[in-house]
Amino acid sequence: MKLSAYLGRRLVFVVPQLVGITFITFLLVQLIPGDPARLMLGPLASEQTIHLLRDHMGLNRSFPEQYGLYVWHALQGDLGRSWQSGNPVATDLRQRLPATLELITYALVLSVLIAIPLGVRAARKPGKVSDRFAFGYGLVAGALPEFWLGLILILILYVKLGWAAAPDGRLDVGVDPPTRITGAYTIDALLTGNWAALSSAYEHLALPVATLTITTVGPILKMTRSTMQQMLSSDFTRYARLCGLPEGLIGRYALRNALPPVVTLVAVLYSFLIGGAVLVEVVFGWGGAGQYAVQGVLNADFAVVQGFVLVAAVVSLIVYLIVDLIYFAIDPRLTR
Amino acid sequence: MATAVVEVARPRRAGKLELFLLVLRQRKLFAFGYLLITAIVVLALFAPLIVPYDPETADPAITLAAPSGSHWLGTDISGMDILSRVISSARIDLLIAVLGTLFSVLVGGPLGLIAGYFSGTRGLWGWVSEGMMRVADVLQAFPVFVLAIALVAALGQSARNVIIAIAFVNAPIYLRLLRTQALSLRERRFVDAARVAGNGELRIVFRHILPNAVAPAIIQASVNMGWAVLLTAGLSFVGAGVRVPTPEWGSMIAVGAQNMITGQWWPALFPGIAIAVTVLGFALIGDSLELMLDPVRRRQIVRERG
Repeated sequence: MKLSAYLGRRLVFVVPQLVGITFITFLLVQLIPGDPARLMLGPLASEQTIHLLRDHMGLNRSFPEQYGLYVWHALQGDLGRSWQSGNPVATDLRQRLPATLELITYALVLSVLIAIPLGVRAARKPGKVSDRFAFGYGLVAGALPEFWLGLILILILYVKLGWAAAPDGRLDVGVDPPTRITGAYTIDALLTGNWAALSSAYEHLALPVATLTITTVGPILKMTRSTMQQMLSSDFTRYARLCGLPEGLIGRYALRNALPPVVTLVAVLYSFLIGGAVLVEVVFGWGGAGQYAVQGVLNADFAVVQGFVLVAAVVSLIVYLIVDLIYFAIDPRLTR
Repeated sequence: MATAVVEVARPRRAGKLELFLLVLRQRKLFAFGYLLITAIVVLALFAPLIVPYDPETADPAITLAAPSGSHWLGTDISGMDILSRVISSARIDLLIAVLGTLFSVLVGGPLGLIAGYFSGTRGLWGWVSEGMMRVADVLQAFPVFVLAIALVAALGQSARNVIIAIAFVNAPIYLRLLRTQALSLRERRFVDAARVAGNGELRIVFRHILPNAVAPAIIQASVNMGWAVLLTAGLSFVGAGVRVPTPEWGSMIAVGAQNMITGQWWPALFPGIAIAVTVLGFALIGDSLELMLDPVRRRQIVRERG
């Protein structure tokens, strides 16, 4: 099967999922007792603006019509307006989502680079130090609340030792953000050659990325170890060994077969972290999309919550789509 | 002579309790997990009798006192005793975790069995089965944590609503798990036998498939209990869960977070350790159950008995 055909078939599935996602985010606001328009505009709104929003959202119309209007607006990029910031939610999210994505992308790339070699090593030497380490690490790292871990890192590396940057955002005070291209500071700084911003951005990324990495290495390590173990004890490995192939090559074959579940796990972790990094964002004053959503929740700024949940779900759909394409690349059975 | 040969060829199967004790004896780490959870449960049950101070009474005279003889773990910013609060927190955190997980199993499990048993069949049940899976797909595309926060925000902040949120975001896990189980079990002979014997479809699902499908759900539930503790703490940490002054680990960390920057580490450190220990305990119990329910590894344990 060609890539285009595969992609086409895969995209067909995205449409009903999108419908489902928009329907649930729509329901979320309907679930709340009270007038959605009043909730979205907040306590300071005048009767007239509430009336206008009710009209805009079609709240006087039938239920299906309201949903249709919501989707129609969302398609045009209109996710409502935050009463706290006064900005359209879509504008706010465009500002903040790159901060979150930058954070979790660095953390996951780092986790994969650490966890896969360790997991492979643990699987090849069962019962040895690396194997025991993998088991123990998975247990302990999975038990730590990441927001607490972040605080402990701040205490040791910032308060006590003074090595890390202050946990108060993405750049030092006095450093201007680089000219916006993607919204991810490290990429923008690199593209515009803004070295001051680049080093500051990396200094501020260090602790939150470390916090997330420490926790996400655990599950990836565990998964790599167990699938790799399965592959190394499977028939094709035994056959390869009987044929006298060198151990390095056998390991590579096994890894290739062990990767798909690991890739899936990384995707699941990525989509989990879009919202799950909220806690770390709060600890480090990151100002990302997750923190924005939490503030929205706490201040009953419901357009913000609705917008964030929708965007996060759509991003995770895209991630799953990319994963399926990666499968397509690493699993030759799918191309047949 | 002949009987002796038979006995050697077919070793006695270990009973459930015997197996459990064997696992505890051979895998000390798992025994440690049970010990941790037992200790935490006992502390939670008898908290009011154990704690040295009232966990919700602030003493403005001794705010942020470092750990000492009179306050073993120190006091927090409003002068509440941290040891008493850490112990009392176990009550609400365990209650939320247990009930949240229980409800997610009770909702997700039966739906998963139905979805698996009727998957691909014609008629109403087939449609219901397909529909449920699509709903689960969509739900799993959502960011779990924010969905939980949004639910608590929509329903109102209270322990009850945290339980509902936990049950809601975890139910799809059991839906999938038991669906997979039912999908493979429905092909088995005993299901055909039950059908031939004249059992109705739903009776087959709940009387014949359910008892055989329940093991992986129990393992998952044990691990999930730990996740639920983490989720509860996370919700409270951002202020969308249990409210101060009710003792709860996550909100204690939230209160202590500001002091961390100025070097007073004790208000946030200890509740975090309590969470980690609890989650670790549940994870170890989950691992031990997995071991006991895995036929290959179980045989190994029995063989090692010596």
